[in-house]
Amino acid sequence: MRHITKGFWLVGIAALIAAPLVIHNSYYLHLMVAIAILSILTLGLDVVFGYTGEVSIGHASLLGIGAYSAGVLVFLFNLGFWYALPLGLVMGGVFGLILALPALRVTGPYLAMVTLAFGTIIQILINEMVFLTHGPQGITLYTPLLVNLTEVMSWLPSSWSESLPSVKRIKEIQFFYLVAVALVFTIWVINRILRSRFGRAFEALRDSPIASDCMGVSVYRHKVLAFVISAVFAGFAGVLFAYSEQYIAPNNFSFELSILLLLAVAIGGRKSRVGPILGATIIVFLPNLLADIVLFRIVAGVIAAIALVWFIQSLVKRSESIRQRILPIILCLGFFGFSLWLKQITDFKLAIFGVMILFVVYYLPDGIVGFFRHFMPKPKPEQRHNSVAAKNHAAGFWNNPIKSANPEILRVKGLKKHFGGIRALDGIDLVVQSGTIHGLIGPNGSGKSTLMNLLTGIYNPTEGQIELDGQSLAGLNSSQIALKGVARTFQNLQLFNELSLTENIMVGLNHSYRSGFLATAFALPQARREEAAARQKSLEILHFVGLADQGDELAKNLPYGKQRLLEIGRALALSPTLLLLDEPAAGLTAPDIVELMAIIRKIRDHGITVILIEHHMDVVMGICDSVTVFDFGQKIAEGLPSAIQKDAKVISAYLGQSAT
Amino acid sequence: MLELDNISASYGKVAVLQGISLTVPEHQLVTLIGSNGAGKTTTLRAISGMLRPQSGQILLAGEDISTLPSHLIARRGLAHSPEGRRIFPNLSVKDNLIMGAFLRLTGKRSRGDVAGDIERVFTLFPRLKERHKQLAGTLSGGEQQMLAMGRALMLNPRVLLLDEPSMGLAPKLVEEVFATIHRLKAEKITMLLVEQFAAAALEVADYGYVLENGKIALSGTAAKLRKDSAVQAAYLGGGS
Amino acid sequence: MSILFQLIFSGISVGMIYGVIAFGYQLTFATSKTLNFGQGEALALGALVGLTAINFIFGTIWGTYIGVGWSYLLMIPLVLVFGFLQGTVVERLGVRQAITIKSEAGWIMSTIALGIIFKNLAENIWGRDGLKFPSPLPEAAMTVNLGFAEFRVQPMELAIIFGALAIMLAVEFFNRKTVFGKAVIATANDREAAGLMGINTTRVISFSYALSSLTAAFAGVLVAPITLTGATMGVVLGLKAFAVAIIGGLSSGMGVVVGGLILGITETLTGYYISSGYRDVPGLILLLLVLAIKPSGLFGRATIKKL
Repeated sequence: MRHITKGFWLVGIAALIAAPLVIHNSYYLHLMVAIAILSILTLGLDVVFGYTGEVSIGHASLLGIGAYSAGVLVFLFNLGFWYALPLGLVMGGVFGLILALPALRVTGPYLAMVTLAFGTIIQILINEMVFLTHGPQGITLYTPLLVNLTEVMSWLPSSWSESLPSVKRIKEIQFFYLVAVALVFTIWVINRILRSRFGRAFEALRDSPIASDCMGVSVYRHKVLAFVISAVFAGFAGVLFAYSEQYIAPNNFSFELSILLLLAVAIGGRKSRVGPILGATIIVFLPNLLADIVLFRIVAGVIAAIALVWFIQSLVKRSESIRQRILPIILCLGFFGFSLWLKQITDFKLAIFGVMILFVVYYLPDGIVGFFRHFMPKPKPEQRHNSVAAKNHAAGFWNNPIKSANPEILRVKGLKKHFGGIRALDGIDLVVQSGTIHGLIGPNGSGKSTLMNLLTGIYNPTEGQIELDGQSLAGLNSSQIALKGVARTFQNLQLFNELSLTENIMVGLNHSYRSGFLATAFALPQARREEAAARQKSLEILHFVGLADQGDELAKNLPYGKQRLLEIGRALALSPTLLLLDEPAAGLTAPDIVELMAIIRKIRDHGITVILIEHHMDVVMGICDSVTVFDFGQKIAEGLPSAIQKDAKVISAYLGQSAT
Repeated sequence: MLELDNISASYGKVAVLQGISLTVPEHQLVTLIGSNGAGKTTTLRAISGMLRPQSGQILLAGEDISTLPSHLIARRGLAHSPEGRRIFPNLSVKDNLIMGAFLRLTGKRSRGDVAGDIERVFTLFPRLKERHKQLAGTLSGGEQQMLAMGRALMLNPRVLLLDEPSMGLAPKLVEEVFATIHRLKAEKITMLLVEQFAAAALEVADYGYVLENGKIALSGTAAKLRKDSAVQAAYLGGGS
Repeated sequence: MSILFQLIFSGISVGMIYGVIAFGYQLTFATSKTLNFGQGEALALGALVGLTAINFIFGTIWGTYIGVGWSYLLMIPLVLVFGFLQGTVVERLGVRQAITIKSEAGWIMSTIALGIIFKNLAENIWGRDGLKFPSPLPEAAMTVNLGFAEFRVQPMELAIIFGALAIMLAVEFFNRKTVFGKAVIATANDREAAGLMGINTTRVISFSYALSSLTAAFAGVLVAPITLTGATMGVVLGLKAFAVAIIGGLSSGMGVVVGGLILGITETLTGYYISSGYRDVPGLILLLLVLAIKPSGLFGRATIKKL
């Protein structure tokens, strides 16, 4: 699979090199430049829209920020392209940060609302700040200067010292190559980012934001990062755009363009490299399409034909989704009919545009790339790494957690959590000894899970203190607490379903990386080494939980019992000092439970303290060193498992009072 | 009155119910017991349309309701006091009860005496009367449980589903809840009760089903189940 | 001093319009966690339909007897009905399916798309130029004397303030006092549990969209007499209302009124004391500040995460 995609990209690059030699018409060359520039932007937008699922309606303005960075440099300081390039990137990033930092603090449609407002206001500001932007009159630019390559060539053999090589304005074809290089560079960098821990984090936070935070992968920070990445590429595209058009004005960066860009990513196909490029191509041709009624009819006809074929295919296959396909096929045919009926098109341009968006949202949610993927044979999971190697180093991943001198790893004092009038936890004191398995039992709703959520920062306590190894956890959020060494599993599994087993564990290993974002984006040696080390370590962990031979399988395809084990493995990747297991045996079969108990014991033997919530009494009694019993939000008993079993209070709590 | 025939259901890929069949006869109290994660709550959710079963039939008074949405099932006279109470926190206590009678007030079910029924709920739970103007979200856990049960009763249901009415309550309140269930039984209300306190549930019920890993493992009259050694060992604490 | 009062007064009337639109956002956000990104178009359509209606009513033989003022009042119910229907269409075409398939971003894009379509249709029906809306009240400003300050008030601005308050209070009254209104709150609190009560929550969501568009359409005929009426008149208003909804809090009832006043007054002050070109800037800055300091809005409640 991989060498096929590699071949695909090589053909693409070859086509880019050959294009200007084949196409001499400067109009088409200019269109290709426009496609490449918008592709850079849509590829970046896909990181936000496709991967993190947040909607930005302000990317046209970020393009404008980049373009005006170039424009203002020319207008005020007469500085050209090579100064504008870094400034455009930085300005894109800065504005991205200003928008994302506040807007992503809450989940919901906030980013969409904020970016939409930003878009309008930026346009107003560009119009108003005449001293800076020349207002509505716009700014004219000339193509970039470049050292005269032919001159440099002729000098090389002789001497360097005579004079500096002269510079001259590059021609259209050279600018095309410049943009082509920028596009290839963009694809390369985005591929690096998405295949790194950052890309995994983007996928993970969509699958389960809570689990991401509890693995020390802050959802907020990574969403902001994703937005800033896309803003930087938008700024980059903006500079190129300014020099490609050689004239910029406020109207170039309208609300409609922002929507068009979103449509490009959606129609081409999210979460792919080909999709956004395809989408950019479509939106570049869209104005032409919507200006020429004949062309419009042809395209509508082709779409209707494809839809018809697709429909007939589903009839032949007798697939169950026939009824769902009737409406889109009728819409496609109707659209074709509408195109034939229409006398002229310009007045209804926007309405047609709107209908396209609706169609893509409802019937092409995975875009064109996703649509055609259905017809392709499913690639087998590639065997990327050698799982045998892992076995030799099995259990080598134990980081020997730094054993604290403190015998009491966790101290909880007077902890209360109230939800409105409900006292889910009503003044709990708890001490957990280092290196033990501490059981928490009690009837449903007695507050065990609430305690778990308080310990991991998912809830903030109404009152009371939590100390981990002598340090207060007050005011820390989930991901900070995770990085302090508290890992957990979830009663309702919270795996990253769309990631492989190995990748699930690697998200947990996110804390082990030292190399920064740039090192990762440019695939510097340190980053590559760390990635390889993390992959190796994840295999070792998988081996420990007995899943080493399924490393490339997607987590969602695992049977239920194995998913529980994977979650434990992922928690171990955090190298925790304290591991919280929330009903790990729920729904497991008897042999699975035996395996689970062995694993929990082994974890304890490696010095990790375990807190275990469990309803299976045989598990609790079998492996716990001490047990605390909860009822109606209070602690009703504590002690050795054998003593707890005989405690009258505990027995009555389990049987319900009226039984006594 | 209520009949489940070979019901299967799942969350995503995880199969939770694997062919459940059970019957709740009119005027009887049937209880469903089993360990956590066995599928008790899921069974109730499937009955009241909160989760669509993948296969099987659910008959309410002879009519198949397995593909209907919740609100149409309620219209046919099924009330569900769900796990976690799910009262409406931003409505007052009284308005919560009024919502329980929504179908009666809007003419979808026979109206009867709504005001009188509210008073009846208040006599059943005097604490609610004291707080009838208060926002429901400010009630304590026990009061919210009473409200959830009272709200379900306001439908004048043919069948009442109760999901863990004892959850998170102090022992005294658990006792009170079971006393109420006793009274409802005396009023001949048809009920399906899911409980973690198996002993208490079997005490009050006429008939019981034991759920294990999404399947009915055992069933019988409550008296018989109470004496069953396997049930005792697993749920009644008899083993220890 | 007088000028300051003058500015504050116009700020209040602009702010109330923002508030009404933001109120509409809240209505749908409460029941469905979605909102109409084409709310500005709903407003413009309301105003345009109102314009056609008022011209028709005034143009009939009774027009000369009843005058513009009564024509305006007679037109309002028509506009409300139209807004109600328009909202139903938006929900049906733009939101319902997105909610069913749990598409995160789908509803944002589809409501934007519907907004674009509505705007385009409006342009084709009513043309691209701003139209004059007959004012039901005298256009000459009255002078208000507070003793220490004197300022001029357009009667229509006063009407805006009272009209906006009236519609919000009417909807609030409906929600709090009627069984159907309580069903809306119940659905907003807990959709599943509301279904168990026999409430058709799909219809409640549809209804909340209808109400939301209704308030927007009403806002449209409120502002129309003091501005130009046209397909694009709602774009900026819809955006400002976003800011207001976030500043006041998407989940808080009356926060939008305060949010609207804050934004309206800041804008008129900025417009006068700094430059009319920059009057839109403080909105964005306020918006970002509020999100940074109190993301749930000045009057919003923080939501509890559920596991």
